[in-house]
Amino acid sequence: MAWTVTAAKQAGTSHLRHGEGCADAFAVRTGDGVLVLAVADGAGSARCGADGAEHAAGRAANLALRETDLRSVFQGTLDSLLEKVGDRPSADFHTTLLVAILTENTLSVGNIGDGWAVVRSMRGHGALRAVAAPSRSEYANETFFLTSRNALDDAVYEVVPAAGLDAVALLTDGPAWFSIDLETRTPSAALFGKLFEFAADGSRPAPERDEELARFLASDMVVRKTDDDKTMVLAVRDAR
Amino acid sequence: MAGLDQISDQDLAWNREQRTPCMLLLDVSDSMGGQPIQELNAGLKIFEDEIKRDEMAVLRCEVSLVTFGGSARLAQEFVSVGQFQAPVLEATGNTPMGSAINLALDTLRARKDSYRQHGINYTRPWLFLITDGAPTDPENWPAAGERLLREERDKGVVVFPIGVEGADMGFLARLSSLNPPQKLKGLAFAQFFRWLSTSQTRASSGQAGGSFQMPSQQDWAQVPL
Repeated sequence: MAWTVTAAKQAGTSHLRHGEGCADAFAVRTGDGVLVLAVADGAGSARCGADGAEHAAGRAANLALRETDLRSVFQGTLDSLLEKVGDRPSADFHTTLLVAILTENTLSVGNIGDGWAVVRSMRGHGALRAVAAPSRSEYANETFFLTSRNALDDAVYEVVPAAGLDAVALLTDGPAWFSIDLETRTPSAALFGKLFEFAADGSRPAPERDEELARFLASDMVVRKTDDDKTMVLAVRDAR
Repeated sequence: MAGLDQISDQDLAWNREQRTPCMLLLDVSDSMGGQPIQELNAGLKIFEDEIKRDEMAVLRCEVSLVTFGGSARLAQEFVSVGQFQAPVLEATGNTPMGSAINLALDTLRARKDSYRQHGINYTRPWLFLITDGAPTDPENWPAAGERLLREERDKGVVVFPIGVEGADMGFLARLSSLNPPQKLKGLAFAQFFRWLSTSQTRASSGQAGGSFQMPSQQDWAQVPL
């Protein structure tokens, strides 16, 4: 089972304007017959949101290598984050967390907050769809976090067969703004078509691909659409 | 070779700009006459000038004004701050705060309905209530106050009560369960509206996850002793 992964993040212009860095994080791990992708978005309101996101994405990806039940992965991640938080308020470390575990047979996605997982199915003739799409909330800038009460219950979980899936994308809410029609919840076929085509070119070294994706996330075209932090992880199945 | 320079604007998904609505509920009763109303008017003008400087705020922030002095009046329907022109308010009459609160909540509800109809995402509305007195319309009070608290508890709005010199702060404390009332330092309307412009601008920008860190209120709020 071989996948080519390209990933990048960029600070939002609103964060840069206020002298802040990027509070998004991502992690990619490969194990025996398993690929794990994770993205996390530290809350703008949280003092240590970036730390929370970094810790959550990394720890969740590590745990998911040996534990395929996403609720257990989230619980383990939360426990270790709370240990790191110690006596400080856990709200200071508010972060969303989206994890995808790809094995030979299944893709399992768990979503705490407002991230998006988009997959392409060759059995559906290249149709795109969101897996474990975030639940709708009334307000644009309000979501819930790993450290929120009942987060593991409020999380969205979905398991789909891996057969036929040839591309997976994980995003924080920043890129969702320009890649998904949020009213109909439809991913842009034109955009993901080009992103996946780009990410499938495994002949280029990974750092070069990552840099190109990072440049795209900082491009004028994207920045005109969103001033939020942006993270994208693209995984494309290698041709056999 | 498939590079990302192949991507053009047309490939991106199109979503309507999210809106950040703000309701100002202003006491313009007799007691606000003279210098207080002048400072309030000057403050509104500062708000207009400052918030229009931020490109993103112009696209996203919306403001509406309800005044109460003699009667409750919708002095400004919801408009984008780009279109907002500060009115010159006059002080007159008693303090029908109850009916003003009802009018403000009805106006907010209608605005949300319109957002939903048009598939527009929006942030939780803010309602600033600025007064130097207490309601003089017992027929609407305390029902309107209870409605305001209920609306806030149901996450329909965030209320910020602000007292001008002479205000009954104990009474204002009953208008929000989220925010303790702040007392305006002297007649620091200019500083308040500068702060409001900054806060609105920040609330409208892409902050993941709800309540962001509000700028410090020390320029206009009296420090409790």
